[in-house]
Amino acid sequence: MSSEKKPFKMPSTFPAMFGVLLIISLICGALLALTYASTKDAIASVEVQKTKAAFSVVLPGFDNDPLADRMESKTEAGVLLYPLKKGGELLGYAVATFTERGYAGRIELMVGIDRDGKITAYKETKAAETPGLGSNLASPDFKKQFMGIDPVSFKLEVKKDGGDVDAIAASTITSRAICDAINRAVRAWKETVDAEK
Amino acid sequence: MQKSDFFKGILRENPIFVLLLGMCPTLAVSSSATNGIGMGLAATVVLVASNVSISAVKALIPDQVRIPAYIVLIATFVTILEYLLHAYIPSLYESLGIFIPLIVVNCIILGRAEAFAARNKVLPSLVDGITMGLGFTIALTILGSIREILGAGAIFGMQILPKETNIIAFILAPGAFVTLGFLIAGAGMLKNAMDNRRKEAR
Amino acid sequence: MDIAYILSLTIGAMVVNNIVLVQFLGICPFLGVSKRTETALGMGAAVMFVMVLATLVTTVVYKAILDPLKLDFLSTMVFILVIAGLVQLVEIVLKKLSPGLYQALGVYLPLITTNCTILGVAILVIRKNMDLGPALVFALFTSVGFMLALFIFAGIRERLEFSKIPKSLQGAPISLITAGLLALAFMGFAGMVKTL
Repeated sequence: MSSEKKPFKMPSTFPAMFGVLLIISLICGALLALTYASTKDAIASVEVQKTKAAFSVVLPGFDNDPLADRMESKTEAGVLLYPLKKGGELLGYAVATFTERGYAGRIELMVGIDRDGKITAYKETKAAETPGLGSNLASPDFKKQFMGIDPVSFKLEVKKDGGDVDAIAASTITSRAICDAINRAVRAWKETVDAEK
Repeated sequence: MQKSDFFKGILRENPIFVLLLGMCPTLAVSSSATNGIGMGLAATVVLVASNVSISAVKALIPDQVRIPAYIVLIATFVTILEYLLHAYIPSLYESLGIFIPLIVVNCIILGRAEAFAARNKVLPSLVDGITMGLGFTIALTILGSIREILGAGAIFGMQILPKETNIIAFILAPGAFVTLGFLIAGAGMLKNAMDNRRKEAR
Repeated sequence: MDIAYILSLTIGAMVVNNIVLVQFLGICPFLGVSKRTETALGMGAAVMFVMVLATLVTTVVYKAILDPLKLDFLSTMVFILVIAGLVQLVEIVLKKLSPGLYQALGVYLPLITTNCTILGVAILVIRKNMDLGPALVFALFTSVGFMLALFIFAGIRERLEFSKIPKSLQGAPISLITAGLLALAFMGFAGMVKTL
């Protein structure tokens, strides 16, 4: 493609450089603001859906709106407790807990604790940053051993540390992290239940 | 534009196996076939958007500030993609995690902007974006599949090999490096074979 | 903020979660620059400077401006512009102070801008909600880890030049396979740090 006249090219003078960058930044900033505003609601509902789905996994059969009754733990910073009721009667709590000791960082779990303080089940809600490593958390065999246990009698540490939990094969770190998260949930639950007495 | 230009991004100038661009996300995200495709497509979307827009406004950007200008545009597209994924494909958003914003520094995108979009018209830039993105996606998927099969005995989440055969190292860092190394070697051998056949045909 | 936390942060960042060999960031410069140990050190130092400074500026900007004003969606764009600016600065400074190093780093210097480690650390620090102090420590030791990985790798590659390598494995493939073995070695550090 040859042309007699050189095609236009904005010169590299200071005002031109500054002006073009400014205009581009403004247009892009506006585009981003627009995207943010239009996806805000969808994103909020995605997060709510995730939490709701977790409730159904750990303590199904509730009919209240746990999100409305959300409580923050006073002693365990960052832990949230959602009371799950059926027909006005308390079924138990879904506790949103976390651990920083995951193989690649922070892991968030939803743990179900029934009225008697027994653990019903847990669901991971946010796995580590590095893709692919989180798959270990979902091992059903590992999860099963937590179902229905009473934290008073069942020591929530991996067997290596003197507890009763069978670690996931070759994933002692992840197993320890999950114990850490569940212990945190149990402590928060105990504190809340004691406070209500 | 010859037919070969269409396919150059896929084998001859495959961004990962030949040009060695975009390494970071390649190694990290290719732990499974699904992640590979997801990242590949996400990056392709940004690549195409970036190539097209840069090609469209290239005359208006002074030469001295072209890199910062490209970066602002690319960052904008990546952020838009991030928010759209979070809202409408949350599962992909979760599995790609921090690597979505890191698409900004994916050398492929800046590389193609500099090497192609800045010097060509909009339509060829669009095609270039698609083929390069496709090559990237294919490479990521192949890498991801191999790592998933050897490391987890599955492909696209479907179990095909018993757990006992899993070599976890493949899902982790070492496996990524080694698999990619052999794949690049393989691609090189393939390219040499094709070149030799072409020479003999003349 | 006690000693144990700081220690776990430093060792964690430098070794256990080594940015190159465990977190997969910074591969491009890792493969490209690490042919000589001196260049590796120079690159490592440049990255260290940019990373700590970038983390400082981006964290401050985020906490003081972006977050309070709910302008999160501008983070990526702002961060990368800060990084690009800092790299320009480093280029200018290096040209004046150490032209030899400037030449040796060549095209890889401006490529620090697209170095995933720097943007990666800036974003990680925000996602993990770190305070400024720990964030800077984290950035410093992450870059030390980067330099460490680069240095070891360069040393190995210097030796590799005397070995007979099959033709198809020469160049990138053997580098990657070596990196894989190095990553395997670093896996041994996993679990060394009982964080928090």
